[in-house]
Amino acid sequence: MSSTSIEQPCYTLINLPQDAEQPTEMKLREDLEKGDNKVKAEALKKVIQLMLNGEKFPSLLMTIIRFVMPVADHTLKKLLLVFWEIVPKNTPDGKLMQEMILVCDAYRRDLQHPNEFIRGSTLRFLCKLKEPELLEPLMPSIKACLEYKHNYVRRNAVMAIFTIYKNFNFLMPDAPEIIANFLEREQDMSCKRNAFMMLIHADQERALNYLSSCIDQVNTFGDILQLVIVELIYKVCHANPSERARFIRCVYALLNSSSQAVRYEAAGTLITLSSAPSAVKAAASCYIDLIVKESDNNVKLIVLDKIIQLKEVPSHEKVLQELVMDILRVLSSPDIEVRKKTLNLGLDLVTTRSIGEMVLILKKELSKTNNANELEDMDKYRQLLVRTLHQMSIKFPDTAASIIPVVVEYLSDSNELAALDVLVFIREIIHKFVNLKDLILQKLLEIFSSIKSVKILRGTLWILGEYCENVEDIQNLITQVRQSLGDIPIVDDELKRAAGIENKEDEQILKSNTSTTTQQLVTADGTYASQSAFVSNTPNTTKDDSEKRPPLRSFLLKGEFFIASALARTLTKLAVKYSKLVDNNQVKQNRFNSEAMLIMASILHYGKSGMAKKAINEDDNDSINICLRVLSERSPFVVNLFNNQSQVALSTMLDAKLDETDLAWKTRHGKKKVQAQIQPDDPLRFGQLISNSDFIEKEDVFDLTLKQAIGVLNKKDEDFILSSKLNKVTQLTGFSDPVYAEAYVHVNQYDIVLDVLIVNQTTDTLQNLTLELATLGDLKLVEKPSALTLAPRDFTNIKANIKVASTENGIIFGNIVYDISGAASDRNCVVLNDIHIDIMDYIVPAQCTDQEFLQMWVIFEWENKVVVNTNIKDLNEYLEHVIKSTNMKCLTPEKALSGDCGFMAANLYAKSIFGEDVLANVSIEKSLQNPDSQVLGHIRIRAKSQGMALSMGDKINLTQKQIKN
Amino acid sequence: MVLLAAAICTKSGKALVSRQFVEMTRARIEGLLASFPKLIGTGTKQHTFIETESVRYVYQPLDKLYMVLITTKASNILEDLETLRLFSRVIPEYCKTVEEKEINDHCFELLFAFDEIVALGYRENVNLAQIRTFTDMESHEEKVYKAMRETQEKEAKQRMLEKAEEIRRSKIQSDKGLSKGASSHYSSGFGSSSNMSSSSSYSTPSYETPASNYTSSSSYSSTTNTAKPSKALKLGSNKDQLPAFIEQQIKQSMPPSAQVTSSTSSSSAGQLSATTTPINTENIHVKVDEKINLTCGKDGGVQNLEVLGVLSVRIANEQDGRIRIALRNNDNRNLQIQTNPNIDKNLFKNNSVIGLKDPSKSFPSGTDVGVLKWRFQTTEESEIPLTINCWPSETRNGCEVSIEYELQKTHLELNNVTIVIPLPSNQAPVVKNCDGDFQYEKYKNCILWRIASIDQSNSTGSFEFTVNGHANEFFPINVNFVSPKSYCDIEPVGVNSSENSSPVKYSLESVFGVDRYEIV
Repeated sequence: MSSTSIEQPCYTLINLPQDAEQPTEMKLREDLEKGDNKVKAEALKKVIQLMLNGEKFPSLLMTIIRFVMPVADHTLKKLLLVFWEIVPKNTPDGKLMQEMILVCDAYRRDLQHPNEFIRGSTLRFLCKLKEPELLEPLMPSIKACLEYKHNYVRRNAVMAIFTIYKNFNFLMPDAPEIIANFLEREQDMSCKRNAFMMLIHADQERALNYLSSCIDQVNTFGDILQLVIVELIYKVCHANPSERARFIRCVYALLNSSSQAVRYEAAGTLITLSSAPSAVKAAASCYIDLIVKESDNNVKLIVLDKIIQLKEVPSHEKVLQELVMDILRVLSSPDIEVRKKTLNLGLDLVTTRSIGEMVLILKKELSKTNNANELEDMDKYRQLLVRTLHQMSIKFPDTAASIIPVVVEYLSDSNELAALDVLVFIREIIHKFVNLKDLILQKLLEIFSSIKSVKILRGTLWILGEYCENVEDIQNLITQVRQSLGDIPIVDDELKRAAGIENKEDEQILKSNTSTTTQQLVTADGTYASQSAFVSNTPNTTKDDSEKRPPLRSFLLKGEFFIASALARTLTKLAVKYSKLVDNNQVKQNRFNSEAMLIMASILHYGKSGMAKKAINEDDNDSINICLRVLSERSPFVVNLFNNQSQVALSTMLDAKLDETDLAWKTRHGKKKVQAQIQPDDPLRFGQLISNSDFIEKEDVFDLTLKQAIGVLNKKDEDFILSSKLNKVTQLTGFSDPVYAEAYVHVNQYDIVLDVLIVNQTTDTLQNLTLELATLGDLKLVEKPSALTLAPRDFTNIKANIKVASTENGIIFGNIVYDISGAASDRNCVVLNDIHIDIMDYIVPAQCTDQEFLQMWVIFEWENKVVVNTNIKDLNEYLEHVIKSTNMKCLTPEKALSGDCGFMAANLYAKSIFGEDVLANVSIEKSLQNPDSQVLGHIRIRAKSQGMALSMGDKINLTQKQIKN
Repeated sequence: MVLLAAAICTKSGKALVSRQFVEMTRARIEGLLASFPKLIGTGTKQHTFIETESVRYVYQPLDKLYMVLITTKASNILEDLETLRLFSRVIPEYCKTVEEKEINDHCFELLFAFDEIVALGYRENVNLAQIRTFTDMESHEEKVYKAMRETQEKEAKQRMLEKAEEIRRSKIQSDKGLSKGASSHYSSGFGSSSNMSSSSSYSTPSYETPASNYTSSSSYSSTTNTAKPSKALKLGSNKDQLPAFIEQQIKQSMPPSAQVTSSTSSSSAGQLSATTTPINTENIHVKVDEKINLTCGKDGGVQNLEVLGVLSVRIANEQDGRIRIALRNNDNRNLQIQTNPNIDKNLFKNNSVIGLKDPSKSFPSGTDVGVLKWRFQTTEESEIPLTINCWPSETRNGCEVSIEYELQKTHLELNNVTIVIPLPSNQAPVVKNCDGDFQYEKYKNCILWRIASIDQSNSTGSFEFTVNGHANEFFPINVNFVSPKSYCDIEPVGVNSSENSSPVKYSLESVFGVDRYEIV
């Protein structure tokens, strides 16, 4: 079977402009034959471009050999080298083409060309030549080039010998020796590097000998040579750990190389060579130094990743813990991602010893963010810092007391991001560490009046309402609220003001009405929520106006009645607590109650008066009414709810969160935990006594990543695929058709290989049998299968490659055409069955945060709504089924899905291997009363491209129906 | 570090050009490049790399395009960034604007340049200028090779012509000889002379180094100065060849005493020698032969200046050999003087007279006997007989070279001065101004500047030309000359008989020639 060009290595890709007209073969031939050098070069360029894009010009080969090859022009010579790279050198039956002998002679002459650059580039080309028959006659010339006076020629000669030896070592069995001798004499750094590299791969023994001979001078070598030396040491010590001691000094020395790249490499190697704390420390310090000194963010991030990897090893973690303060130096970098990684790392590494210092540094960083708020990332950075401090104070409760005063300041900040995190932080601290309660409450009360954001105010009110437990605090709070609310009753007060500035008011209402829009939002659990919001900032006139009023009042003025309902609840709680505290004093109780009720009532009144920009909505209205009723009725059950239950709910939530992070932590560090536990009867390992086999288990990372990258790494589930190969066979024609065809569809990452079996079922010889394929969707046929002749009853396999560019339901269809030899009839045609490409092969589950999900949900243009139509009776089961069949990941935490309430909402997310995102929201319900009732609801799919949304929808439709059958 | 591929992509994700440095299939690389733009995303990030499961992309935005490198995940990021920087600097070098169309037009140039940066996935140690040189492929070697081919062809052509001419001439000659019926002696003589002329025309292009130039000229001087009338002289006087020839025959057969008389008496021979050389050789012939060996730097400064001198005596008859030679040594420079061991040292020291230790003995006859040697060595610039100042200055159109000489030792009289200036390219120089004449030797890539004579009257001269090349490529310059005046001021003032101190007639010859005269 002839190998298709797709299996050949591909060295060049050139985009062919779509609009450019393509010259005919005739024109090309004429240009190549008769044109002057410039015309020839242009024509040759065109030929190369067209060939790279799948055309074939077998007849032009001879023209080129005859008319272009003898030309001495340099450009043409170089272009020819590219041409020979891509031209097929074998006949379809696998033999070398006769013409190539002529070409080979030309190579030989070029290898002796006086122009060193022609020699060099020819040698470089020979690296890519895979035909030993062609290389053999060239060997003496290649060897001679090693002695040439120009280093350009020599270094390429070494490369050529290297690849030739690697591919066909019989052509030059003494290559390592020759190169070793060459290396001894060579002065040029590049040549030395290449020669050394060749020895590393071909003959490590010689490479080592050479290295030992010059190990003291390593520091004086150039950076590229140092790099390969490090690579050699890595490789050698990997294969042969007993050698380690010899070279560890050398690696140490290279840690101080003048080249940053060498230092990086040396640090990496040092860690693999030795796990001694001093070595790890040297490597880690080197890494940190690199991060701090190198200005490039890419470097910072990747090197940080290295340190994080280092941390995963338990014995190394201790060393890193000592270096944590050094790591925090990285925070001076302005990039938010670098800072994020650094903070996370710091958090992981912090110990009781370093916590104090670290908190100091973080506090300093936090205060720095005040001065430099011109940067947009500052907000995020502040948020990060607050989160880190939060987690640290959970880890080390002692520090919380010193952190809180600093952090509380940021509640009054106009920036919500950090403030929200501060709230979460305070909430957890106040819940967990009762001793800090007084401090926190005091701070909160201090800052209460200066809070500018409504969301923050809401949260603050809740915390205060929940945790103010003595009379004094409660009274303080109520005073604060009164101050913040202004004179009561609100309506009267506002009327008075309005009389003064009535005209303005009208205008405002008009304006605010126009600027109010209704936006559909998705709440965290995936359900839709209709929420009204002001899109634009309030106009100037209102700003002036609202500034005159206390904060709470101004919120109400803007129609933010959600805060009112929060306030009502807080007041209710306070009232309930207060009455408990002053149990014996009926008067005080009633006074407090009446005050609270007055506030609530006056808000309600105001909300309904139409004086606010937006009237109070039903929910808030109800909520305030309930509070009023609670206060007036005082039924013990409800009072208890208000008094205790919210704290209970909070602690459950915190516990759940803790569980979740624990779980995540465990899965992430699962292996590590297992390793860390050493059973009393476990064997001890002595480094000196470790045999080779222990080390070989670890694969060489260089080779491993290379294999991964070029896609030849065998996947673990290969066997599974092979065994199920038969499942993927598609029958293309009927059994009684003159030609029977079936295809095995093998889906690689970016391409589909169709292995088509074609059987001639007739007794005639079929000539010119061609498999014609066409595609629908985002598929592209890479090359047309060539025509062939099929003897009677014979069969053959044809491979066709199809490139996939995006996730879409693709269809491949086509037919087989052939001539019957001897028959005068027209071409015969057999139409093939369609092959549907399953997009599920391209979908992989992916993870994203809720925020990201919401963001994408808003951005994505295509939505496909699929109505649930299934015979599954259970909500969870249905969700499982959808997840399984679509290969998506459920973002909604399991806790939120557990329980039986008759409805369910979940967010799903996946990514295609081409980088496309697909979101899904499942909203299903089922009547609780009737266990036999159907699952109802719908699934919305959102994606950036139409194809993706449609394909996903189809898939869900298909699978939920399949269950029925 | 393993760099898999370097590519230029549009922002929309189309790969314009991509070069792979590691074997990988087309589907794989296309897939990797296709997924790249989707991975970039829209967000503005402050770093420019993306890691996927299998590879790492490192990229740099260039206007509407991306320069992308695909590397393995274990690859050294610092090294990769270095390479990326080089790659993105290469693009504007070959494309005027960084646009899709421009890239398409220059894709091959870019590919060639990419090849120079990375070898088998490893970075080469190159800079932008080197990449330029590598892709321009201007090779000096090739030029030399081509020039050599050209001259070889030309030479062959010329030789062919000469051969044809020779055949024609010899044909005519043989026809003549046959018709005249004269003795074959003539024709053979003539034949040998034509042979010689042709051989000299061979040797002209094979004029290789200044040293060999010297040998040819030294042979010239020796022929002119030897007492024995040479064959060349004889052949040169074509008109009365027969008497000279016969005379020689006679001379060789005659005893030496007779020879003197005959040589002095023979007016024809005397005339002959007078026309070619001013020196009359007597029975006692004293010769002062000096050679200079000089190497000086192009920016001045003498690396080595050495003059070696020999005083030799040639006695025709043994009976005239009992003589003493009085010298005048006016040279007050630091000369190292050495006498022949047979010479009476005291006599020389005290009286500056050279005589044998045993006054009864006579100088050996028939050969040149060196009696006194002197050596002068210095690094003083003022001692250079002829200073050469070569001043190349690089201009836009090439290199302008102006050379001037100055005779510092004005007592000298330099004849047949040849100054050889090597040229960097095989392009003919454009001569602006020349004192004396010049000759361009294309084959040897040099220019010869000839001045027939330099003495006090024309102690300076200059020469200017323009040619492609760099300033330091016009060295070493070689100089050659002969002078009838000696460099060191040592001169015989008289020859006396050692028996009776009566003055004896003698002839004097002095030659100052070049052994090596180089400006490097």
